Amino acid sequence: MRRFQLALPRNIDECVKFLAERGPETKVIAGGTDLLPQMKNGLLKPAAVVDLSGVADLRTLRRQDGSGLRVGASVTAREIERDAYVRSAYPALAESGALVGSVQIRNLATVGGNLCNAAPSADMAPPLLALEAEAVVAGPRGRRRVSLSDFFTGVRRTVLAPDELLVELIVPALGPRSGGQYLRHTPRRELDIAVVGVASQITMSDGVCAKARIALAAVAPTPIRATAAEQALEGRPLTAEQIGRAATLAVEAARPISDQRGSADFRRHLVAVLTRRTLTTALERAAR
Amino acid sequence: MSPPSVIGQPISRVDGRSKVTGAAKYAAEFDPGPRLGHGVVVTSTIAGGVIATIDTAAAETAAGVVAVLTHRNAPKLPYREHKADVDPEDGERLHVLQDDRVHHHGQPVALVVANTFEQATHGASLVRVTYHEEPALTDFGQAETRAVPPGARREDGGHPGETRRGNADAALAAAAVRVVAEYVIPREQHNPIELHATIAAWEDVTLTLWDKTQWVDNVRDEMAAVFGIPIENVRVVSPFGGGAFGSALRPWPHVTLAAMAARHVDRPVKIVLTRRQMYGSTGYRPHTVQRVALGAERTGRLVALHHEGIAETSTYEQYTESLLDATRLLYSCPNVTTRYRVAPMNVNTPTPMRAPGEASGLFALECAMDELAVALDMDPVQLRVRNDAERDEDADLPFSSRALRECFRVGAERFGWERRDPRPTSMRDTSGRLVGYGCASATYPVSVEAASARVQLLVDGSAIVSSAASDMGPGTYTSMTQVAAETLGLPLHRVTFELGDTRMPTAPVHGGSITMASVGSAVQAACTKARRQAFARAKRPSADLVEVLRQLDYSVDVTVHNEPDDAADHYSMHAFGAVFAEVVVDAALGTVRVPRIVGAYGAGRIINPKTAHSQAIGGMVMGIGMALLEHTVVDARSGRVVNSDLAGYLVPVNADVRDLEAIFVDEHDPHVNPLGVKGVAEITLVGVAAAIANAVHHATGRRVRELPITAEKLV
Repeated sequence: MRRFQLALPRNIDECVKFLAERGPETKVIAGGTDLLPQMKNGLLKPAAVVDLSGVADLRTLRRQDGSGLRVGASVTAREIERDAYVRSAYPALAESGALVGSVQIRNLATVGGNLCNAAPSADMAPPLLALEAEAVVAGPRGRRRVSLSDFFTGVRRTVLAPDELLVELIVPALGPRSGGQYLRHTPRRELDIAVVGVASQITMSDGVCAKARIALAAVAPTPIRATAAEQALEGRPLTAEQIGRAATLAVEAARPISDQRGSADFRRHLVAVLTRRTLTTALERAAR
Repeated sequence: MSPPSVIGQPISRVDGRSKVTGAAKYAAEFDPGPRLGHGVVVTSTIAGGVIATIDTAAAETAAGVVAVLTHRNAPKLPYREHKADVDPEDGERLHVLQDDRVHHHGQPVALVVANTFEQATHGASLVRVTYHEEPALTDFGQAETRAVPPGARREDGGHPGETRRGNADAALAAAAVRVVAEYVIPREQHNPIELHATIAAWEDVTLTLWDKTQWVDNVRDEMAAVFGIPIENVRVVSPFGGGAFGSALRPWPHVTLAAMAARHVDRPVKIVLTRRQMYGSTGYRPHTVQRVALGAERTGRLVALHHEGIAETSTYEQYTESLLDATRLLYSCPNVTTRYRVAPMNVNTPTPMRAPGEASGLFALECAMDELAVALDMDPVQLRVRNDAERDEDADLPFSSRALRECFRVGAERFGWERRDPRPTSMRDTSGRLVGYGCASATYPVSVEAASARVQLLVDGSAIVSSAASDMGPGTYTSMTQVAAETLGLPLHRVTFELGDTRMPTAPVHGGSITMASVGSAVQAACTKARRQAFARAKRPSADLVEVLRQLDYSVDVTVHNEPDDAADHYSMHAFGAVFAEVVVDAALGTVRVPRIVGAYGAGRIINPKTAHSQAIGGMVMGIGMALLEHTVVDARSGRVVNSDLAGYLVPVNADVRDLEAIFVDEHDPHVNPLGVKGVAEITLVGVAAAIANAVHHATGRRVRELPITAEKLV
């Protein structure tokens, strides 16, 4: 591992200032569950590392009256998994938090880290995409908001400039009769990386689907939305037939590769099955 | 009055507290003093060729680096002839840093020694190696066509290229029902949780090694041969092993490197391999392709059995294992042929991995038996019982004991086999997922090797018993303490068993399920003799050993060398078992879960049902891995293992493991050894993968003949 300078900022401003001073060879560390293995394997050789553990502002998870949820970038997967409000209002997000790594890893791994690491298979990305979350980004030029669907730009690449920091995610409030689910396929039940992950989020109104959002992991260079599938559902009752059609359209949105974890064909098959299943569960949950 | 019997009691591990509190010391944790240097290995990045240039300048000048060893400056070592039971009979071990030749990806080409592990790791990253690459054989499909019959002879313990009884070809052609199929098992890694590690320290001409090993005596003998020094000058210490499953049977090149470097820098040197390095330098279960042909009468009676297997080996050693041995004796069949081939490749040498041979061979045979049951429209348990052998038809000897039928009876009852609807895809769980039941036979040979044990009976009424044995996890400390306490007639807490030091009386390898039978017999014999001596020296008559010892002026100290008797000449000695697995399959996703495994074993006397059960369910967990997950993926371009870490090489996690149960049927075998034990280490892996594969077929109607059974193969 290359020798690096370690910065321990106490607040977001100090953090941004350090990033601006030190430039592109700086990496941010929160839980370190993605960064440290990459540094140990020599994939990343940062000259400086900014440790967020002293920045309390990044660790808040709070419900906003009538306007959704704010998730600080340093909130851990374990907190997401166990938070009573997240579990009841945003079950897809809670489910994705519960699938990251193991309990020990989840106690360290953060939402911000999962997103900024920008792996195509990041488990927390699909539900946040389906929930139309916005990322709040701080930089020397102030703060900006980025829709999460614009956040990922490539494998392990995001819109963040080297001097910018992901501060929090804003998850909009959901209307009544909304439901969602995240499912993924892995060879073993825990401690594994998604071969495919699918999050579906719907809102029903008068027996028809008012809104549908479907997001996929591990089938493209970035986590993606299956917009054609979403549009096919909106304004229609969610019959098994409609759900099946959406699953077919979701498959068309996927651009998977073949690797050791699964072939492209198998991944397409998984997208169809998991889209069907998550939509079916989302519909059940919306009825509660 | 003698204390109640402790043999057969479910005693908790006597070393449990030291393990969970961290007091138990593993190889890398010993402290040979403040001058300890840390060695980090640099490995080859090609599969075959010669080193062209090796630039160590940057590493040598890096902070903290003490020395960089390569083939150019490493001392030429004598490497005297040394072959142990764990070494392949044909070929010669890798001679580390002795020349510029590269035999496989991951071969050590340099060692950086520094004051700290971090400095050595950094130094290792600065070594630049270039190669003259040569064509290398890294693709099994290509190597298979150049496979050769093994050179070793059967009478020397080798595994023959051909065996034959009767005429299998003719019988197969005439058989009423035939099954012919090919089965593939990928390369698998042991992946013990403890990384392989060695600390070497020279003092004048003597060498001390703290090493992760399953056989301290052989590490001593091999290092004495490699360095050309008397064995009395080498001491090897290894009191605890954090798993091994065979990976620590042989000393691998890093052991020699540690000793070489320690002498070179005149300081103790520690080498801990990285997880990644273990995939290229501590052996593995070889990739195999097997073809099985079975012929049977309509009644289910086997009339022909042909089993052939091809396995990978290295270019410098010919590794063979008992891949086809069980096939020749498991069932009664007049016409049997086996054919064994090995394919030399540019890989590091494979090595025994839990139930080497039997685990692979019986996967093929027991899946084929299930296919035959389907072809015959016969219950798979009934098929196996019908073909149960009365004697070993291969060795032409009676079995010392054989509980296969009893295991199927007890196991089937416990498992609820009668609830099985034989039609594939006919059973479902409450959520509509497919359910399948499968079974398989298991067997593993019983061997006893010569072993010695020392017993010291102290005047305070306690006993110290020792042997240079190992405990990689099964519970040797505990079971030996039980045998000693029972034989001496002392309560458990008065007996301490010590192991893992070449200064102790000699013990055989801790592998092949032989420790309990071999070391246990020596412990029993030594304790019998020591007790007799104590009573002979008693000043006042007493039936209580503690009382007698307290009268003595000095302790009793006996060492007994125990040789196995000639039972193996008169009996075929094997443990047998029956494995039952239930699977639940999500048909749309292809995911297979294993809610239940029941294994019934005839393994002779069980010294400690608790540790034996733990070992058995450990074997079952490994079997789940073998069936569903494990697969070393090799990049054929470079011979590099692609998934060389525990994120890429999947083994089951707790969430994949549900109800596991092992039953040991009553079995009193007076022939195997005085203790009547058969060993339970290996057999509990045998048959598990086949039982799961057969259950998957029952659930889905799909026959997957290539492990692991991934979801992708089922959709």
